[in-house]
Amino acid sequence: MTTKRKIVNVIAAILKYGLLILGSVFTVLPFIWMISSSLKTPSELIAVPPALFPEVPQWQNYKDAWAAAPFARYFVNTLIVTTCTTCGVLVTTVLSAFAFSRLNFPGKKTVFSLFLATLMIPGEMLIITNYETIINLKWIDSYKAMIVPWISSAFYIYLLTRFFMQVPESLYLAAKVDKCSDFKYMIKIMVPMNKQAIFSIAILNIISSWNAFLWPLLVTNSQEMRVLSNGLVRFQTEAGSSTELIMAASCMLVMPIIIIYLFLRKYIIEGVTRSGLKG
Amino acid sequence: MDIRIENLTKTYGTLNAVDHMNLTIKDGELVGLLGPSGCGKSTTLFMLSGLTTPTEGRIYFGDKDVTNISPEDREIGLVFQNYALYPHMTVEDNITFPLINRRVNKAQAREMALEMAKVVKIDQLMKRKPGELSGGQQQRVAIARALVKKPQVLLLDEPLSNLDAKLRVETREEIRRIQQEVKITTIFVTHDQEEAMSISDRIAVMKEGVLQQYEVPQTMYLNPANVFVSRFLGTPEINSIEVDVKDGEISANGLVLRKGVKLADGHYKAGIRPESFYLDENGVSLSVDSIRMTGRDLLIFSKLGSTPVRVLVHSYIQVAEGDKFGVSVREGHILIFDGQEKLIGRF
Amino acid sequence: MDKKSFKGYLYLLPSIIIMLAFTVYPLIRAIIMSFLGDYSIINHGYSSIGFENYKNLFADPDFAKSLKNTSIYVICVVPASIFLSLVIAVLINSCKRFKALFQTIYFLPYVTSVIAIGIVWRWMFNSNYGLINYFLGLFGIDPVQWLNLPQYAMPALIIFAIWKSMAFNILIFLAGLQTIPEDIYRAARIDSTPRLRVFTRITVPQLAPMIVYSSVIGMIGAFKVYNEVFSLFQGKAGPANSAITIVYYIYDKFYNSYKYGVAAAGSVVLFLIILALTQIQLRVTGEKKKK
Repeated sequence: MTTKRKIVNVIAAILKYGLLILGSVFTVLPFIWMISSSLKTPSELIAVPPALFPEVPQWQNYKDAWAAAPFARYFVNTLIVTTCTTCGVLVTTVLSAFAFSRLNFPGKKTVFSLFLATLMIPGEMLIITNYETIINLKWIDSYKAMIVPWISSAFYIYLLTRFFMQVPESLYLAAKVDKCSDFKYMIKIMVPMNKQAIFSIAILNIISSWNAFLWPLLVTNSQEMRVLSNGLVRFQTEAGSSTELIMAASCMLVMPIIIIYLFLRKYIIEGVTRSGLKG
Repeated sequence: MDIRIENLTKTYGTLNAVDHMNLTIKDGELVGLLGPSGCGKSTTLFMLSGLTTPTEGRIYFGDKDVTNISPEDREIGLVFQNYALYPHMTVEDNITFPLINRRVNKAQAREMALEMAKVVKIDQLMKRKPGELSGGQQQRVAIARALVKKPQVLLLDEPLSNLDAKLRVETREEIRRIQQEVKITTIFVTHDQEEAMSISDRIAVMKEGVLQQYEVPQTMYLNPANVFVSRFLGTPEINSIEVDVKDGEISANGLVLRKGVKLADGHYKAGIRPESFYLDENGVSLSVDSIRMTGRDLLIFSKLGSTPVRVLVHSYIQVAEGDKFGVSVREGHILIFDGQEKLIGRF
Repeated sequence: MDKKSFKGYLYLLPSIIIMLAFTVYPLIRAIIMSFLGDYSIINHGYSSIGFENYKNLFADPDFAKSLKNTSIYVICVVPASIFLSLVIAVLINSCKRFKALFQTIYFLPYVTSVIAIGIVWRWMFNSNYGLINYFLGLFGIDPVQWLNLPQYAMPALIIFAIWKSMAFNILIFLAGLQTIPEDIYRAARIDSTPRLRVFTRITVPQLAPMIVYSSVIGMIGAFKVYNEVFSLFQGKAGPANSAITIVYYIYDKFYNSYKYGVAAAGSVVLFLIILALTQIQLRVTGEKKKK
């Protein structure tokens, strides 16, 4: 009986790890294939059977891709848009979350519900009219157009408000007794106490800004203003069949975020989990 | 069924959670595993259940070595500290669950569950969910679920710690009643000495993984094997006093407590329970430092020379701070310990 | 201090301005626009007021096709992704070793640009040199024209989308699994519960709220699918529009055909679908809270 159970346990463990490894391979395969393809020669790319790794890594592909399109410019643009958007999001989110969690003002509940209600509106629906607004403002082809509409997020406000609510009210009252102003309290107490949550929000926003595609595509015309994701799609059309160069360019878009992810995994997972379990 | 534990040891890293424990539990007895938190009592229980694997030693249920048998094959019932009821199932489903796992057919399982529910007096609650029950009722469901499969041994991990004070006393009597009714060998873990003494047939006191004493409650209270056991049992706590023995006289700080004892001269550790004193005008004279009224008893804080002592007297005795009173110690109630803190004798 | 003051609004001002300008106003504007015939966003002119756009929308076979495709997409991607994620999450959770490693690996697709990785999938789906056809070849299956034949466009899109959407679900389920008390599993073990029965009778019911939540979130996301289509088919909606989705249809009408009114009408339809799903979600989470 006992040995039989042991055998069953061993088989179960083998099956379990086997399935997990199989799933892992399925999950990482596109990444591996992207990197490996980006380092292959054109003839290795179309070889049958395909080799998992190139014989000699063709680092030249990256240089060629980098030179074939103004990726440096795209990179800088993406960096500018991501940084500004994230800073903006943090400022508006902290201010609003503080107001909702600590300040008392007429209509607070109504305003908060309205903020929450906006979460039900699909962003895809707003793009048409927002595009019209950008045209009316004559912001087409500017950083403003890519940044300003995204510097406030009802979702992050909701998330941070819940974190701020967990800070005991007594702390606020104590600070009031010590003649600490609201603003000072927010900066000196609330922000440091919730720095991990704020950091998580920052990283989540960096990822979504970095990966943003459609909106920057709509509101930019010139090559000088293009961000990486748009540049990549454009390059894909221009480079045509030079798959190794397209893969190298894809790597350039994907790798920075993956590196951030590997280092700050904890904050990203924490942030997504928290937002996911909000129900 | 008898349970025999031989050299049972569990090591976590360099820490011996349980250290070469030997214990025999007789069929049908209710045994309390008692000790402060971290003493290894829960680890012992989990090793008995099979959920924890011993580093060393063996466990026998009857004549059968169960050390390497997995929990599901051990025929045990286990009640968890937080009850671990399945929150999404009704009481009935919770109780029938182990039976259906054993391929008992549904109708029969229901019948058995109802029978067991009657024993623990929850047959009115079969259609409720655990969330709708009080702590005490949940406890009963957990016990019913553990007993329904007719296990050989019932194990309870801190069964009363999640209940409020009044319910605790009630429930512990219930556990005793159920155990007697089902006649099952039962082991429960507790850190509450009163709880252990009130319902156990025998108590096993543990400290830092080592079994200190295994005895019937009354014997253990009167004859604690060592200083630790003497201090762990009883409230208010036993008075620990340094005494000198010279020419058959036991004295503390020069005050003679007992004459004519047969004990080698020297310095000893002694223990005197607060209730072992009795008022005696010819005894040692003490003064009242402060008093604490507990209801039935009056606790007097005083000093025996320079050593603080607690003296328990009936509450009808009228004393005030500063009053003088004389006390003696009941015959056989001075516990004398040796240098290793082991009990030498009672005088 | 209990007295109310309007100071709170000072803190909210930046957010309120942005929300009004880029969320509330465009919402109302889109609804209005959907009732204006032949609207132009350049000179704001229109030819008629009424349901003309909606009539055109529902008369358009492309829109019907986009509705059908999106529904197929939702019906295939969401349950498959939820089921696979649940299995993977339970397996990861039961691991003693490499738990963190598996978690890191399985979450990777979530942080990745759909556009970039879509291009990689496009390469893997390549009918002549693609990795997928090579693997199929090992099992004696002839090369599939994934991206070139209409009947394979949706399956390719669905495979890609399942791959992408599992990451989030696995994470949510893992978090949920950690909230199930360890003792319940121990009790189940003592009760001799077979593995499969532990999964169906304990794990799944305990995770039910999260499964519903993930399903609704997944459905909302799936109804808005666009980037996946764009990247997999290089800016098109598959061969002969075979993989056109609602959002793709809306953007196509708006950006390529300049039919702003029709696009707005399409987006109102999308809005209503999402709204209905959100109501289901609120209903479910609301009930959970009541308990």
